[in-house]
Amino acid sequence: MGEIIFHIGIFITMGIFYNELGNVNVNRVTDVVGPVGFPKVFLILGMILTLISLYQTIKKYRKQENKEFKLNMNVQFYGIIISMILFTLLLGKLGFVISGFLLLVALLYNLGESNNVKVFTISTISILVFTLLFGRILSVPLPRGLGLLKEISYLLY
Amino acid sequence: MKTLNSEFLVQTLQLIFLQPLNLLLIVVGMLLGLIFGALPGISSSMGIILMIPFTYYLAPVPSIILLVAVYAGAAYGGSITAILFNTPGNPGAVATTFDGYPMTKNGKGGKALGFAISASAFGGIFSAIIMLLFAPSLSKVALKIQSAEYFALTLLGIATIASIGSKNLAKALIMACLGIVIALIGMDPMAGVTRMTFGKVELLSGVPFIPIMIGAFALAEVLKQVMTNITQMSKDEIAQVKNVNLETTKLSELFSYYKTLFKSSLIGTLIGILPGTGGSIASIVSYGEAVRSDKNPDKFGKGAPEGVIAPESANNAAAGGAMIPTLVLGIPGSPATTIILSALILQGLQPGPQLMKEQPLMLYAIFFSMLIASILVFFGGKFGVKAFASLLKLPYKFLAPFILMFSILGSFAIANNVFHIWIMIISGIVGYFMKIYDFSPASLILGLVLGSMMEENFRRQLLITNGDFSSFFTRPISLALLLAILAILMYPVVSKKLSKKTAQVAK
Repeated sequence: MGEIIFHIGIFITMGIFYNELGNVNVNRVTDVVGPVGFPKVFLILGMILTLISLYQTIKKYRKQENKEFKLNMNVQFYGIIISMILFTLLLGKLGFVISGFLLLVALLYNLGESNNVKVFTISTISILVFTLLFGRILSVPLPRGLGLLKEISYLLY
Repeated sequence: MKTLNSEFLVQTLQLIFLQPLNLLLIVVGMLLGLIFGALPGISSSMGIILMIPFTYYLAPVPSIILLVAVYAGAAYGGSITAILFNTPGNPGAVATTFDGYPMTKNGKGGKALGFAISASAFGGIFSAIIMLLFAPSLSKVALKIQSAEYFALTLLGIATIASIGSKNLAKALIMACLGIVIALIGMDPMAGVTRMTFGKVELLSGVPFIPIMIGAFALAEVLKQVMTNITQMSKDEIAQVKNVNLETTKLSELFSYYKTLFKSSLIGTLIGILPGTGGSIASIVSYGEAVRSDKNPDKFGKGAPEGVIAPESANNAAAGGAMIPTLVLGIPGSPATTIILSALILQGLQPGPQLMKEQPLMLYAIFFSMLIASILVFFGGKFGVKAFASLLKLPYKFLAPFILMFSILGSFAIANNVFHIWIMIISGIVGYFMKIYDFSPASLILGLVLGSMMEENFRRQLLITNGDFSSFFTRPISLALLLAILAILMYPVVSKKLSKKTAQVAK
């Protein structure tokens, strides 16, 4: 069932792109194909192929005895995704060091490490190494956060 | 035909040997590649991706040297777990398990590793020499190629990777179409109008393919690993590694299998050149050929040294072979070379025939770094086995956060933009479902990398010929390439029908 939903998702995505091509200004066309011709051809081809593949998948699904709906996702899967989304949301406010530290702690707990000392030691050392390596040595302008956190970040990178 | 330019050759050797950083990058890259290749769950593509953030801050030559060395090391690394635990570290090492693991069971694990290292190094050196000798001539021929042929070549690259390199042709083609469409988001270079941006300013300059690549390969792989619960090696298995003593293979002993060695290296190089094939097909084909041509085929599968030498030399030779179309034509031969191609583009270089003309030093540096990395495999391989024994103790729960942190930094640092982290996360989630439902991420990435080039050449050809679509079929090379595409796309359908017919006849 998940595969069918995925097919439908792809088809809708392609449909949205196709629809968006309608908003392109084609008055300044300099060649036969124009700015929408090429993507349109591949979108149509992609949608036809998606329908063919969807038909085959539905046929296969109907033959299956066990039609139980499984999303193929477990707690660890959700944990990783949610941690990464929260990290990205907090990055601008808390800065790289704090949000990165929290991400590492969350990931380690999520992936099964229960020893608190290990989790906090690994997270602290790792985030410092990443910060110094990327922020100082490679001069990546890592986000610094707001207010006091921003001031403190200048001590590190 | 003049192939090698001695002046550039000397300059390249100076560039590598007189600049300690470059030499260091080859050594470090090769060792890291070795480790990435050996660890199940980290493919050579992911290994190269994890190194990409470092290349942003290196000059073009050192950054490509680093990636190429990782690539060369990873091609060997997969054989360590294949021989010791019957678990190939990468798909290219599957055939190595056939005889490598029986050798370990027979108490000859050290010998098998010695053969694997020597054969890998030989395969790598062989293909690097082929590259050095033939790439300059090939690029001269490639310079004569025009828009119609380029369009057909990009299409050929995508068709081959979709047809041969994936499990389901229709799904791979869907992904290729989607990749091409995503590549076209942003400003149309010919008409100067925006396309498919949904009014977002961030999309005006197009969708960056590095975060998509990192998401689809690295994050998606981590998600897949946590779903399949890959656990660390057992204590017994770790003890097994510690007990294995690597036996250095003498050159005379290695060359007593010279027929297998040369034949497999040649097969590997040739298969590697074909887009979409790569090490896994090369190693299986050369293993099959070694069995077929041997006087005593029954010994295979029971621990025959030729069964290790053939796939390992072919696998490493394919890594070098795949660099030829990547650099000479700008058409990558495998997912790993697609990433290297992206890194070249990121450095402001345009792979293709012009690269040889405008940046010959860069090209020679790539070839030589592969050559040196292959030679270093002889020495590094031994270290790799020892280091690997301690790395095996590292559970995935510790490895995964590091991969994810590198993925975040790699996506962010490309343009210091948080929006790219979002693209990486979305690509990772979609990439995970692509993997489990057999939609090919490699086809999506290839479409993404080649999409703009494909459109540009297609439209340029039509501009030159005043909109004559038949010009794609009237030029001999273009026609031959288009026919080849047709044959490649028909191949899975025809072979399926043929095997059905054969099965019916057999009944």
